[in-house]
Amino acid sequence: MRPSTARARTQRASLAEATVGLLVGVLLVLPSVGAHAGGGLGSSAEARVSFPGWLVWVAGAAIVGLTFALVGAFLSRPGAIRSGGPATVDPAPLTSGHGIGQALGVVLLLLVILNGVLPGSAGLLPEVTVWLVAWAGLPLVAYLVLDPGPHVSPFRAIGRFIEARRTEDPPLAYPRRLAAWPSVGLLVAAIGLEVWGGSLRDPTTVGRLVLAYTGLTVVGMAVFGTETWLGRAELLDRMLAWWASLAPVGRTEQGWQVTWPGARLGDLAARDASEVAFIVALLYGVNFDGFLATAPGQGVLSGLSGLGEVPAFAATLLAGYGVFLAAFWACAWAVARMADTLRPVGEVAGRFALSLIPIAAGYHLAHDLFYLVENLPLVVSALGDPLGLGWRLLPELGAWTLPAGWSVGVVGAQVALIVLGHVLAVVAAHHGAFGTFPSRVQAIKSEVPLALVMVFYTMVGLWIVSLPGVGL
Amino acid sequence: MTRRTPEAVATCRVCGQGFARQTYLDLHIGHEHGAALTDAERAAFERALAEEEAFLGRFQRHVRGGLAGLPVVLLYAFLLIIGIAYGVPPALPLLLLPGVLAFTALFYYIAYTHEPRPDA
Repeated sequence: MRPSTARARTQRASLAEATVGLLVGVLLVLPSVGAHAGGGLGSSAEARVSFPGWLVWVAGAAIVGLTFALVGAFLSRPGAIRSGGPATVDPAPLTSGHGIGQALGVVLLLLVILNGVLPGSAGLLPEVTVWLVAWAGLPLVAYLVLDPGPHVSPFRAIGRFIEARRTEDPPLAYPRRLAAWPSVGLLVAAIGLEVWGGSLRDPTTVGRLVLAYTGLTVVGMAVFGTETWLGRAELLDRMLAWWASLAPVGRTEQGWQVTWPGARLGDLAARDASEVAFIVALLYGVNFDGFLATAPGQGVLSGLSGLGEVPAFAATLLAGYGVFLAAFWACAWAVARMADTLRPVGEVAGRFALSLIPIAAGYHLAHDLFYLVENLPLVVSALGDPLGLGWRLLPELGAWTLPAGWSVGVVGAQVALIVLGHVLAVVAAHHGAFGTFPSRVQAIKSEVPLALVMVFYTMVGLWIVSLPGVGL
Repeated sequence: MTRRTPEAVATCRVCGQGFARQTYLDLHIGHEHGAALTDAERAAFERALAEEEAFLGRFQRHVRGGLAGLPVVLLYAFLLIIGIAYGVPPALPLLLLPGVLAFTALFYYIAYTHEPRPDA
């Protein structure tokens, strides 16, 4: 049954209808959110915002709930059911990269490592490269535009070098049971390192950590094969590939494809529990520092302080991640129950995990866009003195003068971005459900638990933003 | 991928996938294997689509009702916040509440029972 042209026309009409409805809904409520969000701020750049709490939470949650209702009611024509299995998020082929970008990546990598090895270096380059560029900047490019991994990753250049000199098959087969768990472990460790900050940010430590990571990657690629290691374990590549599932520009077999942001999420799926865990870790990573600022987070941290500072921190990190994982799997189980499906919970989870990515991207953008803009001069000074030896290769920019009202705008934008992330997530869950189940009734019912969790999570997220001392 | 689970009420004759309800199988065959439909299957598919339309129609009516009632609620919320900001006695907003609820219900009812013009 292909939809007739008449049906296709009404489908388009309903799409327009729903878009207008959505826009009206968002326009109605967002200005009030923004206005009230800025309310308690004044002009002091240092002040934390005191939201008229419940108003913002309720408005944000209402928008998310409204999205579910509108999308369910107006985007559920028969043509919305899509057949065919979901695609997986695989690494781009080794040949697809960009030589110049990768060469620059390798130079930067070598400079960072040199900082770790040379005695007495005190430059900004390692911290700026790792945390400002790779951890904050590249994901931003990945979910807003396209996957930059193949074009800048130095590890891909190293991998190409290894593969070009390989004369026989890789010595070891990658254990299937290991799946993508190495990348999950690395991601959680990176989250811990980021939030710990402090002494871990000095150039020597960062340089040595990067050296250790490069060694691990080189050994992994040499022993198990480059494509396998990039697809299952290499953190930078995996992270950017998952962020880029939200991007408007993607590469398919037919060439470059431009879509609405998030339009491809509904046709993608996580392959197994380890990839689901990776996506949950992406979301956890943008929430962990916020969680630490809450009373429960502080309670856990101080309750465990008997273990010593580092073990307590690590235990809190893992416990919080465990809670996130458990919550997601409980939600996936509820989805499978509501949908009355025979598909295993793991498959349903793999499908719906993708809808967490817009939420994570919303938080990441709210967090890192402004961090990036405020700290851009550091990139220039870091590049001007790459080894921390007091060189002046580039003119100093000095401090950045931010426009007046910057911080008010930032808070409003953060609230809007968090809500927008959840709205996109509800839409992605809708498309995922319509690609998973044959019946539209099944699909809509299956979205209910997820929508409820997202409404709740919006409130929690907005509450956390309003807390004092959150690094958002 | 063949999956035969004990609870499967119906199993697809083309790809062997199991389903918890006959309706789901009817829809699955229609959507996934449209070229291989028999007349009976086509009839079952059309029937299942009509059942879905009935459910979605009710859902859509409720959403339309909610959207119609929303302006009243928003207006009340706006007045309430202004009222709180200016420190009016709490009895005043409460006094408005029955009227607001009645209007919301009326708007909801009108939108719920409204028959939209049939699709062209």
